Amino acid sequence: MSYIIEMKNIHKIYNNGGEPLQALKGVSLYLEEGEILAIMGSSGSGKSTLLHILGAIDKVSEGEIFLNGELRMDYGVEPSATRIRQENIGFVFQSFKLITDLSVEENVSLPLILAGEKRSKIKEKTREILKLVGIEEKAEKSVTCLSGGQQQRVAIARALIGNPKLLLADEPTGNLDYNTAQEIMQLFLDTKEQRGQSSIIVTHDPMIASFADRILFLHDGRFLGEYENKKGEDNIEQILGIFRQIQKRGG
Amino acid sequence: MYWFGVKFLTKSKKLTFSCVASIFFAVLAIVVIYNFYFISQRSYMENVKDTFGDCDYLISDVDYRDFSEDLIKKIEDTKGVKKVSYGHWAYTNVEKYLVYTVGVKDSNMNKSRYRYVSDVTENRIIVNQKLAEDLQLSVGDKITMEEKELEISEILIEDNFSLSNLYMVIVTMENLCKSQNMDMVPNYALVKKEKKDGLIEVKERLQSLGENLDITAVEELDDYKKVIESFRIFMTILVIIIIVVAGLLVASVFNSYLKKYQGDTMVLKTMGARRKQILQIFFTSAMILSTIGCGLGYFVAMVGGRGVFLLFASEFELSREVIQMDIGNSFFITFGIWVAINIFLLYTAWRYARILPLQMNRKNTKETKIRRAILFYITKKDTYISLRLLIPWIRENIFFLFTIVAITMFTFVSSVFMHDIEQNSLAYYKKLYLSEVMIENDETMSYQNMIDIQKRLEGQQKDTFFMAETSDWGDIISVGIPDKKSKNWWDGWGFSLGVSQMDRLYETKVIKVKKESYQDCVVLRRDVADYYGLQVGDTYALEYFDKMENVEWMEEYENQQKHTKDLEVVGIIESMMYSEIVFDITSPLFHFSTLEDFSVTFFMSEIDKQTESLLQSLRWEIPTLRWQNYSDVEEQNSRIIKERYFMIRAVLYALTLLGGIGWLNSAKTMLRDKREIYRTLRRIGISDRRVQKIIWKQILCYLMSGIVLGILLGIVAEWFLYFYYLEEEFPRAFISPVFGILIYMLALAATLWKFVKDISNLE
Repeated sequence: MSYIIEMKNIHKIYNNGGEPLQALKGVSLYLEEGEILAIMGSSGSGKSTLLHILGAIDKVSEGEIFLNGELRMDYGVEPSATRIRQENIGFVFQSFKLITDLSVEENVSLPLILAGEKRSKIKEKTREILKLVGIEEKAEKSVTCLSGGQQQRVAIARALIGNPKLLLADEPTGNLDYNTAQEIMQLFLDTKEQRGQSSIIVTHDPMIASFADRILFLHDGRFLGEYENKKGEDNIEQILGIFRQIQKRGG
Repeated sequence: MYWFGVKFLTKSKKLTFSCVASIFFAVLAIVVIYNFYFISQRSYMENVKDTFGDCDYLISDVDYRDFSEDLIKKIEDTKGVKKVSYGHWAYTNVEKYLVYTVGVKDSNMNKSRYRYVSDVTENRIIVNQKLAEDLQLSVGDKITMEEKELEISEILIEDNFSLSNLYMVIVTMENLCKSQNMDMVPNYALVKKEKKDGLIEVKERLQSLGENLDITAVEELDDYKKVIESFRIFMTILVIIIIVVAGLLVASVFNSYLKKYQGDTMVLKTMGARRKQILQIFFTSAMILSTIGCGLGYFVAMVGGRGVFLLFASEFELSREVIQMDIGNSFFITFGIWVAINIFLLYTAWRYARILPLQMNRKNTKETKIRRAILFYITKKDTYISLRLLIPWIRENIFFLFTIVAITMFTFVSSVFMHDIEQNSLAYYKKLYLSEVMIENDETMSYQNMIDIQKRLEGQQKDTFFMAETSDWGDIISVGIPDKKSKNWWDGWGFSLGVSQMDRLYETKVIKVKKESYQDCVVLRRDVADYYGLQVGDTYALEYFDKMENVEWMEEYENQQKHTKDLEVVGIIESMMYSEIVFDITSPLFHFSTLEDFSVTFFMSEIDKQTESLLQSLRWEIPTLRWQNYSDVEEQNSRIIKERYFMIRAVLYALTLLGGIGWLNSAKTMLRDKREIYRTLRRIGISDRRVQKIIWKQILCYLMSGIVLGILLGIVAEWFLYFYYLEEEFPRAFISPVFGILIYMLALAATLWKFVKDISNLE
């Protein structure tokens, strides 16, 4: 079976002023097409490192990464990493990371401009994706005029416009209130339903994780547990319970 | 991608303005200075041509003999000669004064040389301003020249002869020669060469017509070359200062601009932007900034430069006729600057584009560490916190610091340097002028001539004395004083023989020792006195030999009869222009009257009208005689230095102004970057006043580090310049102009008070 992305036995070691620091200790994961995978972990668990490696921003010290079933030894290694990011990955950041000097439409169309898409096609696709995320009417506005939730929608639109195989989200609702967070997570679900979008969401919030199909629990650079999300009423409590157990066990 | 570059520029108005302003100023300053240099050169050439007129060569005989017909024909037939005009110089009696008279064959060249406009005819005479003022003459008055009555047709105003205190008149060559009972033949010629022929080549051809010909090419004048050379060096230094400081300013502002978009660049790279695409964005920005800055600078220089030069023409002694901006070369200079700026900005942007997203992200990790450090050190002094916050930021924004350092250093060094140049120049002239008026002759004269002139001058100014020098010791071979170390006389200081009137030197306070007779006394030059450790009142033994024949090597004198004479040191002269050792005219050691080739300088306390007239007539006998007042020299010297220092200061003030604005922007950016940290401090219970105190310390440390470093580097530069290069004593520190920079920067910092208050708020 071919996964969107598969990581086998990934190790990442940093040289921290002469002393080696192992951030990831043999993690493995896979992501199926149309799946939402949540990675839960507390601060210092290695979430950011894993995210950087998944996003081809950093390279592994040891291990294998398969993209669309193909082993990529150059995953995270420049200049190939740039191409991988452009063609396969969409990023959603906690702090939105929109370019404040540009309008909504300009921000969203950035990935297509970078890819060298034709102008007419860019306009068409931009309008389409803005409609999908529900802020078409804000196209001409400056991003600084938008609310947090609206900005995150713009960020999601930007991440989706290039039809990436993999959508990576780093605490996408971290700066949002509860209700807005719910809306955003619903948007993730909608993109999954409508476009078959595969996503990996990194979070420490069980409520956010509850939207995922599957949850992996990361502690001290290792996956210590996996949870197939039943999506019942008490699944948040269950998730939280597992999370706490793992933290205790791991400590 | 290019469109993004435009967008970023339009959204960052302050940074864009700062960048454009820095480039604009650099181009404006360099183009204006370039044009000023060439206008000054042309102006000086015009002034020189005032002396020589619109000709390329002035030809005369070294002994002022008349030209033969044959010579005249040869000059005219010389290849490369376009036009020749003739005339005759002589001294004539005009209203009982011996006056320098120019007899012209009327022509445009003679008119341009002597700057007269009316035609010279048989019954007319043109007088110069000096003569007209002293004799109270006006146009239309009649005066006699050698018993012939002539009507004044024109008075020359501010002519070079008047400026040199000389009487001068212009008549027809016929009138002049008749009055002197001479044949009407010229003794000088003005020559204009063909444009296509080289100056040196034509000169050589003319010189080949006769060894006795004295040919002066206007552009080869030593004074002209010296002035242009010193000015060129000065301009080069000024341009270097501008390039260094303006370059640093442009670098620092552009760096700020790149840093502003660091986060956005990271986002773009995360989205898969290639290095080339990032570069395209910033390259577009760089091209727009440099094109606007250079274009504006060039335009303003061309449009406004001429007006400014005309406004300051008299202050800078620029000739209004030649004030024209060199559009073509200025454009090439601007283009060169544009290319250089783009290369530099492109390189900076390329370095930026190479940074990977993770490296940009890592900055945030460091911030977290600093926050933790703050919590840990919160009980320690606020200054420590300020420095911990400041140091990493300085590392990333080093260009701004360098800008302040460079401005401070140049201000410091230039203020000391110009001050010391002025003082040294004045000191130099003060040592040189043993009295108020100095009268020099470019050629040597015999002892008898010297005494003769001395007596005639004494008749008008009783305090006249001379200082003379000859290399001819006459009957004796003097070997001076044996060398301190080797004791061998042939290693000793070989002197030229100086002679003066020591009683006059005492009366005019050049020396302070009074003696009934100075025949066994000497005055030493400072360097000689210091070398032998001699002071006023000391005696030393002069060793000398009788003149011997057939002696080839100095050592052979060792076997000859040596004599010793004890001499008392009665004075020490500071100026290096005079002889190492000066004897009194009454010294029995020498038979001065038998010696030839004295270089003489006469001194007196003032020149009144009679003395002036006497000097004018002496010129007839000694055409190379010239005189000047110390006060005129002092005034001229100070004026030149003030002009040059004015230019340096104007440039430095403008750079300081721009640099200060850039520094202010960078300080604001620095504080904005740290906003979260200040909020953290507030959240953990630090009061807003204390946080403001921390911030102000940060600002002051940032400011003072640049100024202190600039002063230190300035001191090092000065040490190198004075001690090592000029081999002079290290001058005292002179930092008052730097205070100006400090006060300006502190005033700028003070404008941050509201900003500091805002960012120290919790919200």
